[in-house]
Formats: sequence, structure tokens, C-alpha cells
Amino acid sequence: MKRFFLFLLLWVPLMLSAQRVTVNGYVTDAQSGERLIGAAVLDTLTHQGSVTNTAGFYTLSLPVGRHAIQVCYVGYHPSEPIVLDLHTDTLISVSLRSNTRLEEVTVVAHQSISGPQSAQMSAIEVPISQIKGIPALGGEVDILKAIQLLPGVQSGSEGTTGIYVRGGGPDENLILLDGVPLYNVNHLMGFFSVFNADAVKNVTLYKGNFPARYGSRLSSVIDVRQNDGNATGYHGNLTVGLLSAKINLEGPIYWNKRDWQRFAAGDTVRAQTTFNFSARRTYFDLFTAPLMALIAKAAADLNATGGYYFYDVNAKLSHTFSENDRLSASFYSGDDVMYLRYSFDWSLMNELNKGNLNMRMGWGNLVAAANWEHRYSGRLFSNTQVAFTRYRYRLGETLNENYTYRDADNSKVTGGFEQSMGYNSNIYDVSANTHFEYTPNNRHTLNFGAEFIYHQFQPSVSNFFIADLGEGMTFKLDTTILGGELMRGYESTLYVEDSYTPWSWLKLNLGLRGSLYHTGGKTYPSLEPRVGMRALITKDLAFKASYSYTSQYVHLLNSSNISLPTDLWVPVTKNIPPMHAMIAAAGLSYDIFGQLEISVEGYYKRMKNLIEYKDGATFFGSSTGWEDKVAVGDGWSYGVELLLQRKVGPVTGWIGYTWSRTMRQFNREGQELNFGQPFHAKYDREHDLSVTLQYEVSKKVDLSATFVYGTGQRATLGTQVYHDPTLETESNYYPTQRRIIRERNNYVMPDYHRLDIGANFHIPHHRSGDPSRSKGGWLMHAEHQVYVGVYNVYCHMNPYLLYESGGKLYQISLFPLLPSISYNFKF
Amino acid sequence: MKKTLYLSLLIGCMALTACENMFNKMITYNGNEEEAVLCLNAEILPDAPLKVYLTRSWFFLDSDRFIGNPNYGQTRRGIVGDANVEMQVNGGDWMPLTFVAVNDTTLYNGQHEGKSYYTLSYSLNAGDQVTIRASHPDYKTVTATETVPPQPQFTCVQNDTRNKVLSFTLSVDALPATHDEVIFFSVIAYGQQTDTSSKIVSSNYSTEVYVYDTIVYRNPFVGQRLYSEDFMFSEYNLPRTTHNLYTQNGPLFTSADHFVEPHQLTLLLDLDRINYAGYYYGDVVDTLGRDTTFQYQGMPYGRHICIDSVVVSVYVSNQSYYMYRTTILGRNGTTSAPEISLYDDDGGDDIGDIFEDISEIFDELGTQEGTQVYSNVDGGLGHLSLLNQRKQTLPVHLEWDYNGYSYYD
Repeated sequence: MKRFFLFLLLWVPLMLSAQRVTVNGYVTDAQSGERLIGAAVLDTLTHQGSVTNTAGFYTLSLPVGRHAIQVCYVGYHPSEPIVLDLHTDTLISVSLRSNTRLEEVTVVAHQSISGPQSAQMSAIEVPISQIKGIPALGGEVDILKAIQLLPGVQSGSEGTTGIYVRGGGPDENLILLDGVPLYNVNHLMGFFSVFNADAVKNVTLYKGNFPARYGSRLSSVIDVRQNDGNATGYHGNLTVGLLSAKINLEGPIYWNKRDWQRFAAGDTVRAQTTFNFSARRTYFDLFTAPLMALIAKAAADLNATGGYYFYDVNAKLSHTFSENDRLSASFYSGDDVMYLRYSFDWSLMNELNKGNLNMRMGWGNLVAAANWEHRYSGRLFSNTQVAFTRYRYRLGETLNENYTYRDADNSKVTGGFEQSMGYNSNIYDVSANTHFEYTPNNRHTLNFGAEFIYHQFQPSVSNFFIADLGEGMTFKLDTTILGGELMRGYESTLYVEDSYTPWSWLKLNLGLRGSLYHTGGKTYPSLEPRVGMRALITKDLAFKASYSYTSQYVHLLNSSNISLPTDLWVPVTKNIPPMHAMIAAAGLSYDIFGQLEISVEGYYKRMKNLIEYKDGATFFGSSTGWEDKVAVGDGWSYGVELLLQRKVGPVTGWIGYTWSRTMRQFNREGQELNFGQPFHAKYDREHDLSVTLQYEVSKKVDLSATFVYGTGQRATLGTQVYHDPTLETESNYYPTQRRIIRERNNYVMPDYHRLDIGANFHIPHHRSGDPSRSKGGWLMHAEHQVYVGVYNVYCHMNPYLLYESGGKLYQISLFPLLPSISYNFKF
Repeated sequence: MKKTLYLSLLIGCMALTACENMFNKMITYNGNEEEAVLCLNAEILPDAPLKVYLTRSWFFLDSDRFIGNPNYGQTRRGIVGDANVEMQVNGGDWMPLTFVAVNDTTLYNGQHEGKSYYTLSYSLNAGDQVTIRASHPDYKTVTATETVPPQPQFTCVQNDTRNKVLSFTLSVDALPATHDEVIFFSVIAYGQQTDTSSKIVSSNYSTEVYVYDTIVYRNPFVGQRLYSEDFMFSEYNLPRTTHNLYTQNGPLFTSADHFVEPHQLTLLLDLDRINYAGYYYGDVVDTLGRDTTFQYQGMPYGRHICIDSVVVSVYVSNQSYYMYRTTILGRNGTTSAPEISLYDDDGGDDIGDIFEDISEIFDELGTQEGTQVYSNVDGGLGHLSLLNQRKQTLPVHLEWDYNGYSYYD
């Protein structure tokens, strides 16, 4: 009997699978050849479907027989059904034509990652076309600002790109660029992110229950994929706005002379190699630096100037060897630079002084990665990557001075003085990972893989150099005065997840991630289960639930609401343990005719081993390092999120609302904050509403608007003052009242709300009927775009900081009504 | 297209008229207004007059806390002189304290109340449990209880004088593990200085102190040079000439270390540093009621220095004293003295100042968490701290001629 059951267990699935075949292939953009992520592939006869992965690859296991395969994707016309009789594994790659009007998809139920068909919970995919249409601060389209508009995602201070997901801090988000984690993704104190929207193909946000292949962060995953490049022609964008200019170029690389000749003759030749290059730089320093110099001279007779700029460079090279192999290399470099230069030349009585002072602050990322995608068979696909990441922050000051004076004997003394100071913080990561997707049958899709990351952290290093070259006296000192300790960490991970469909109405995502982090002679193991389920109540209505446990081995010491480059990324050590989080969620997802998606989710999250700066601590001046300045504690968060999203049609956008509470408690001995009592987190904002709409008036004009409303951020206010005579010293001119802070984050600032609007005007380079258009060439479909927008239309001054003066409370605001205009030439 | 343009223009005009254009504006406080409470502050040494200061608190947006125009920022002391203040020792009878009014005659404090206090003539001993209670019809009654710590035991192990640097090593005995106290010290050099005409200019001056630990274990100040601004009692980096708690001293250990082993400290006094002096003349009344000390202003050229003795005082206090001091002065709860502090007293900017300036800039941007102020006063604010001390006088003999430069002549 036992043997019979064993036979059934082993051979029946094989027999069944022997009656099944796989249809697999790639879904690409018909014009550019760009592989499309998350495209839905459906057999309209059996209603079985799949979605493409990050490589644009899909696998669909179907029974032998007649089928009709159709592919659809937001922003594209659905493909015509491909009718075929399947008897063996079949490779079918489909190209989709772009649909700029985002026409309704009426034929095929849209299988979005957040829709009722998917077992994935708490995930949202925002089409890049929608992101580009959102009105933006200064006209700078920003991916992270768009993500801040989604329910469950709080923003930090006014105008910043800090992401706080379901009560988690800004360091608890795994932000990936082509699969490589980035540490600091902010420019200009967080007002802009490092992502150039022109270089981005796809953005997916997981707010919880992220698949087991993702880890090392507690709260969210933001997976950003860059464009591969157009395989059939050269295209680009040139944008000039109020704050920055950017350029994007993409196209094929033909190695074969014959291919070049055919392309030059006007044929459509799909190249095996493509490139995509983007660059962006702000330029207001080119105007402000000379202006500052003029003002300094006129107002205070100073020779001083200063400025700020940032830049980003993205590049990607892809080569497709065959349907089975593709190799790509990605590169990103970006920096922020702030500088101040001051030169002086003065004399007083018998003393002369001449010299210059330079201060410079800079921070930035460098990422380089290589990917190899390999299709073993219709059922097995792999993606292997090696990558290097560097993040660094530098603050430096140099002073050169020459002096002359007369001493007590009236002898002339001359000398020189050099001094420099530097503060650096560095992170280096070298990683290698491999990921497999295996679809044995229509009920299971297995994802499994391994990852290894070598981390090198140098949280803070202060160098000091001084040389006094006075007459008869020379003194030199060159030393590292603080920090300098190198911290190494070795992170190893194995994971497996199965998307299992035991019955058509029930789908399960079962995953397990195991990781080890080794540092300083200590090893931290972690086992992270990930469970998600989807139960179809009707074809369009699903109930979803999930549970996940996550671990994080790096922390961000962030002591304010604004994102500063001085925020330190620090690893776990033998004294500071990893963070852990458990999140449970449940909700409903409803799809209305493939056009509207409604979801409501409730969640509860507990976090352990969170770190925060102790009272009075700041990043500077540490003697023994950051470990002494932080306290370790716990947190919890719960809430309800509502999302109504439309991705197709002339009117698209979403409405998102969140009600939530986020608390912290630090009561471990010697590490108490708030005297060990629970307190509200800085970004505990009870209500958060975002409405984003885009309306395509015609082919030439589209309008957009965004309205946000949220409970004010929390601030710590010392609401009582008193005088303590025991603190008086002799030099006190009059008594000083001391401000008493009794509780952290005890005050809710005024509510935040604003309205942004924008309009895009599209002007074809050639008018229709223009004979030159028919002649072809790279300007054939060129287009001029003018964007006009207004940030904060009704000029509501939202609070950025609060302070008290003379018994009155004041707020500082940053942004009034800000108009913006930009010009984009697209070819 | 025209419709779109006109609509855009209309919105633009509306928006412009709606623009408040105020980046810095006053807002209404929407939280709870807190009631005033009594603030009891006392730092009591057994061998010094007992003084208890009682003031009241204000809601931070209450303009009555200012004298004159609130924008000038001159604030009141808020002395409460008609309260009923009592002390109880070891559970005995409550003893009433007497209010002593002090007139403030300092030039800059003309309008303010003096540092009036409540006092009682009573000798406390190590181990006494002291409770102080203050009540007033307009405020909630406040109480605070602490225990007088034992005297620290120490001996001077080594004494060496070279190149105007006095070095001596203290061996501070272990405290019983049950005590939860903080040890700190002060060192005062006593002597004379004369001008070229042998006229005595001043006496009693103090200096800065270097601390090196001969044992690495547990001492957070290993190899560090401490300045008074790092200590809890003084906010300035100038040496003090008074031998009260505002001179150069600092916490050697916090209760977290539970100082349970004998510990040796090597102290280096750079006696040449005493040439930088306080700001003004005048009698200074020590808050602990000890001897007043004449402060000198500066040293002209051509002085002859003679140091006769050095008095080392080692103090023990309650943990609450350390907690209160570090929190109300906004200091990190753990040791935060930089390994090398590159401050000097020339008034110019150097590395230490640059660090501080940059820190302040970021502090104003909200980079630093405000420090919650500790209090061991039930029902109110402030602190009751009991201390104990032991002094030892070390005879030294140092003489040299000083031809330095002083700012304060």
C-alpha cells in the first residue's frame, strides 16, 4: 500500500506534466525592442495566465491542445490572439505596439501585480508614464516623490524624498537600481532623488510581504529598472528646465557592416546590442556663484562665493546573444557638491593677514553591475549578477594663511599657517547573486537563489592636518583624530519561494529566506518566512492575507526629518544587533472591468532592535564612535490603507488614503529614551490622503493635478520653562530660563496640504502632411514638449520647522507657489 | 487650446492673489497648555550651608515670564518666597526651612530678583536619607528624596613637578557595589603671583587639568584631555578661580560603570595655563555657601609666579545629580569628550570651534534631538542632589617668571 502511494506521489505528477507543455518567451516593445516587465500573458481559452519577470520573460504551463495566447500591458495595444495547437514546449515572443492614449483594455483581464488575480499583497506598480505626468517641484519629475503619494507611504519634511512605509524609517527601504541596492538616494537634502525618470523603465513598490528574493530591509522594496535601449533606432530626449538640464540617448550598436548599411538605407534592423545613456545636472550654481560674490562684496566687502550642484549619469549596455542568453552592464554615478570659497587680505595696526578658506561638502553613489540572463528551457530561467556599490560623504575645509606682525620687541615676525580638516563616511559593497525561476507545471512557480554581499563600512573618519610655518618654529600634525575604524560584514543568503495554486480560486505564495551576517567575530543568523494567500471570492474580487518576517543588518542614523548627507549608514556590530520586523496584513482587492482597481488593506507591524540617537547626540564630535551615541529599542505600527487606481483610459491616476499610528519604545537598561515610556515616532501622521489625476485632453495636451493632505508631522517642543539658580555662573548677565522637554515628539505641527497642477503641450516637429516627414530620418517622429506647472497652487505655507521666540510660536516654511516650465525635445 | 490657455491664466491669477508669501510666520499653538509647577533645586554638601531654591515654571508661550518686551528675551527667575518648605531626615520630624531674600545688586541684573533661597542649619552625615517638601496654595506640592553618599577615600600616590607641569597620581578606593554614585573631582592650585615690583597681585587661582588613566579598564577618559566645557558644572572653557563646583571637574564614572575596583588617576596640571583669567573682579558667593573668593582679572607682563600648594578635592554625588546636570545642559547621556579638543583661549576660530560651528548649523536644521530633562522631584521640576567630598592638600614649590600676554589688562 505504501509503495502504491509512493508511486502516485512520484509518477502521477510526471504523467500529468507529460500532458502539459510550456509556452514561453519574451514580451517586448515593438518599436524599441525594450523588454516589458509585468506584462500579462493569458490563454483566453483556459484562462490561465502568467506575467513577465524583470527580464521580460514569461512561462506558461498549458495542457496539450488548442490555445489562444494574448498579451497585454498598460500603455500598449493588446496583441492579437495567437491561436495554436500545442504539443511541445513552444517559444513565442510577442511585440506590443505602444498606445499613447492608454486606451481601455476591454478584452483581457488585466493581471497587475496588485490586482485580484495576483497573490502578491501590498504591492503597487506605477507605470512610468504616469510618474512622468505627475506635477513636480521645479518641474523635476521624481520617482520617489510619486511613490510618496501612494497609501501606506509617508513623506518626511516638506519637499523631501524620505520614504516612511508603514511606520518604518527611511533606512528600512530596499531601493534597487537594476537589482543593486543604493544607500543614499537623495539630492539636495532630499528634495530630489537620484533617479532620472528618462532612464527608468519600471518601478514597483512592495510595502510588505515582499517575495523571499528580497531582503535585508524591514519595510519596503522599491525596485527600479533602467531602460535597456532601443534596438531599432536612435532616440533621445533633451530637457531644459528651471533647475536642471538632462539628456537621454538610446539606440542600437551594429557590429555588422551589413546591418549598418541596411539601417542607413532606412530598414528596420533589430540590433543585438543596445545602449542607453542619461545625464542630468543642475546649473543654478552657475548663476548663484557670481551673484553671491557680488552680494558679498557689496554688502560686506568680502571676497566670497559659493554654490551647490548635483549631477547623475546613468548608462546601460545590453547584448542579446540569442533567445537563451543576454548580458547587460549597468552604471550609475551621482554626486552632490556644496562649496564655499572665501579669501581675505586685511591689515590692522602692525598686523597683516592674507589667505583663503575653502569649504566643500559632497556626497554621492557609484554603482556598477553586470547581469547575465539565461534561459535553460521553457521552464527554467536564471539571472546572475555581480555588482559594486560605493557611497561616500565628504566634508572638508582648508585654510591657508600668511601673517606678519610685530612682537613686544617691535621685531617683525612672519609666518604661514596651513590647516585642513576632513570628515568622511564611506560604504563599499561587492555582491554576487543568482536567481532561478522554475515552472514545473501550472500549479507551481518556484523562485530560488543565493546571494552574497561583502560590506565595508567606515561610518565616520575625521582627519586633521595643521602646519604652522612661523619663523623659527615649524609644527606639523597630520592625523586621523576621530573614527577611522573599518567595519566589515559578510552577508550570505539562500531563499526559495513557491507560487502555488492548489485550486483556481486559491493562490499561495510560500517563501523562506535564510541569511547569515558575520561581523567582528559575531554571526547573526535569521530565518524569514514569507506567506501570502489570495482567495478569489468572484472573478474580480479577492481576499488577501500575508505574514512576513524580515531582518535588516544596516541602520541609518538619522536625527531629523530632513535627509542630510550626514545621516550615517552603520552596520550591525557585536554590540548593535540586527533589526527585525514582523508584519501581518489582510485586505480585499477588486478589479472593475480591468480599468479600475480598488484595494483596502489593514496591517499590523512590530519592529525590534531599532536604533535612534540618544538625547542630545549628533553626528559630530564622537570620541568612541557611533555605538555610544545610539539607543536600541522597539516599535510598532498599525493602520488601514485604501487605494483606488486607474491605469488606462483618458483619465488615469489614483486616490490613496491611509489611517495609521506609529509608536516607539526605548526602555532597555542604559538606553532609555523618553524615560522608557512609549512615544510617537517622528513621522506618525494619523491621516494621509493623496489624489493624483492625469487627463489626456488630446494628442497635443494633457493635464495633471495632485492634491495631498496629511496630519502634521510631529515635533519635540519644550513646553515648560523654568529657572534654576544652581546653574547660574558668574558670567550670566541675567537669569536664563531653561526649556524643559518632557516627551519626545509631543507636538503635532499644523496639517499639511497643497495642490499642484501641470500641463504638457506636445508639438510635433513635422506637421502632419509635411512632405519632409515622409522622407524619414531621425527627426521623423520628433516632438517638442513644453511643460508648465505650478507647485502649491493656492500657496499654502506648510510648516517645515517650528520655533519659539518671545513667547510666541513660529513656523518656518519653504515653498510658496512655485511655477515651473521646462522644454523637452524628443526624437 | 485657447480654452486651456485661458483656464491656465485664470488659475494663475487666483493663485497669485492667494499667495501669503510668508516664510516665517506666527502660528497658534494647538496643544495643551500646561499648568505652572514648583521647581525645587538643591545641591547639598554635608559640611556646607544648606540652600534650597524654589522657583516656579511657566508655559513657554506665557509672555509673563519675560521682563519688559518679550522680544528682548530677559526672563524672570520666578522665585517663590512664600512657600512652606520642610526637610525630613531619616523619617524624623519635619523641620521648616527659612526663606532668605537676596537682593541682586549686580550691574546687569538690576531688575531681577536675587537668588533667594530657603535654608536650615543642620549637619548631615553620610547615609542620611533626606526628604524635602515644598507646598504652596497655588501649586501642587512637590517632594524629593535622596541619600547622602559616603566620603570618597583617596590617597596621593605620586607627586612630580617638571617644567611647570604638576603631575600626581590619585588612587581612589572602590565604592561598595550598592552605591550608585558619580565621582568627580576638582583641582585647585594655590599660590601667589607678584608683579615686577613684588607687589602681590592676587592669590588663589586655578588651572586646567589633564587626566590620564593608568588603567585602561573602564575609564572613558583614557588618554583624553578634559576641559571644563566638557564637564557638567561649567559652561565655559575658562579656568575658574573659585574653588566651588564650577571649576574644572568632571564625572569620572557614571553609575553604569558601578565603580567597584580601586582606580588610579594621573592628573597633570599645566600651571602655565593659569595665566588666562576670569572676566571680572568681585566676590563670588559659592552656591554651597563656602568661602567667597576674590577673583583676579588678569596678569600683566613681568610677573613672578610662586605655587605653594595644590588642593585636590574628590566629590561623590547621587546619580540624579549627574543625570540632571547632563540633561539640562543638553549633554549626551554618555561620555562625549573628544579625544583631542583643539580649543584654545585666544578667541579665534580653530578646529574645535569649526566643529562646533558646523554642529550648531546642523542643530538649527533639527539634526539634534532635544534632551529630555531629568528630574527627581515628584509633582514638579528640578533636582535634589546630595554630595560628599574629601580634600587633600599637597605641598609643592614652584617658581618662575612669566612674561606672557594677557587680554585683560
